[in-house]
Amino acid sequence: MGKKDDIDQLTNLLSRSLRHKIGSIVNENEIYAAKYAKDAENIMRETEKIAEKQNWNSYDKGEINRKLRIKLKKELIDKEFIGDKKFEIMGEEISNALKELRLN
Amino acid sequence: MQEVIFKKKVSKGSRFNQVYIPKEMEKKIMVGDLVEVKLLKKHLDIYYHNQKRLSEFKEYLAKNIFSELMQFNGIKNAFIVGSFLYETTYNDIDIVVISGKENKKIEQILTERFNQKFHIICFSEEKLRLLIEKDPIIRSMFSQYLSGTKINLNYKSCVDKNHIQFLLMMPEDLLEIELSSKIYYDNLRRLKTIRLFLENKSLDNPQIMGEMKKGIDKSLLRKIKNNGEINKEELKKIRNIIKNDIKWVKKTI
Repeated sequence: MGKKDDIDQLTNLLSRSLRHKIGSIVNENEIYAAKYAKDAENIMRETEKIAEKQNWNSYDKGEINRKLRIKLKKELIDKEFIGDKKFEIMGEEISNALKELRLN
Repeated sequence: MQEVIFKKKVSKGSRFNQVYIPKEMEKKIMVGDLVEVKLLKKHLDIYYHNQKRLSEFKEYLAKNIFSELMQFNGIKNAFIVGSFLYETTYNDIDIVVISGKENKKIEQILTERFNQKFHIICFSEEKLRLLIEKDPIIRSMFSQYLSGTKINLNYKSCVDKNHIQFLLMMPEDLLEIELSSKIYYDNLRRLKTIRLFLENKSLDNPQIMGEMKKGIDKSLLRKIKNNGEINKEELKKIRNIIKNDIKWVKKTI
């Protein structure tokens, strides 16, 4: 697979992982969401494998950031049952995840 | 003054628990005398809920775990749940602790003391009640347990649509993304638990396992439980079951 496909796959997985993570943070006071933060970790592990496959230049990193923002926003809009605070923490969670994957 | 000592078990009284002065000592310790009562050995007891008796080793271990836990400040009760109760080989011992505050040291102290792997979750009484009412996974966890003190957790279930939708997110993702096979196993189990919860049926392990075995070969089920490699055909089969269960749950809530 080429870089473009890897970027697509990486942002697909990462947007889902972050949706789980944000859901578990936002819903934390409601119910036992911490247990389900594990879902985010499981997808994140798969994301790491793709992130390690390529040498990403600054243009690629910019593309990943841009695509991830679009996909994650869509994911969060679709999941109405995740509290509204989700959009407030979206930016910070994207930055943290990209930093963790050394894609910032 | 001559030292007067006796050892007696605390007995249950109608209003208060009590210690009786032995008959042979009634002339030595009399009404109005000042005495001191000291705890010498904690009475260890465990209560089984919907659970057959454990092996001698496991029961001994469980009693000692409860005894150790009750020495922590603020712990009101504790429960042993999960695979320790029904599997011969278990990864870790899952313990739910009822406490007003979280104590991160419990896990470390128990691990050092018993040389076993522990997974500790702390809840307040109110939070536990809410979870047993609304969360199918936690409700299933508490369908079988051991506890340090007798308690009634027969709370009525209550369907929280938002929470069920939250739980469906991962199985839905698994229809589109490929992860290791154990994750499919865990989510199949999650879906079967949600189904049984919505049908108001028993959520104990044999019941869930019975549902898991429907529509899937034993060998494939064993393979994904052990995180084995699966081929495209097997993945398709699993996804079909997941898809149908999601459809059923969504229609039901």
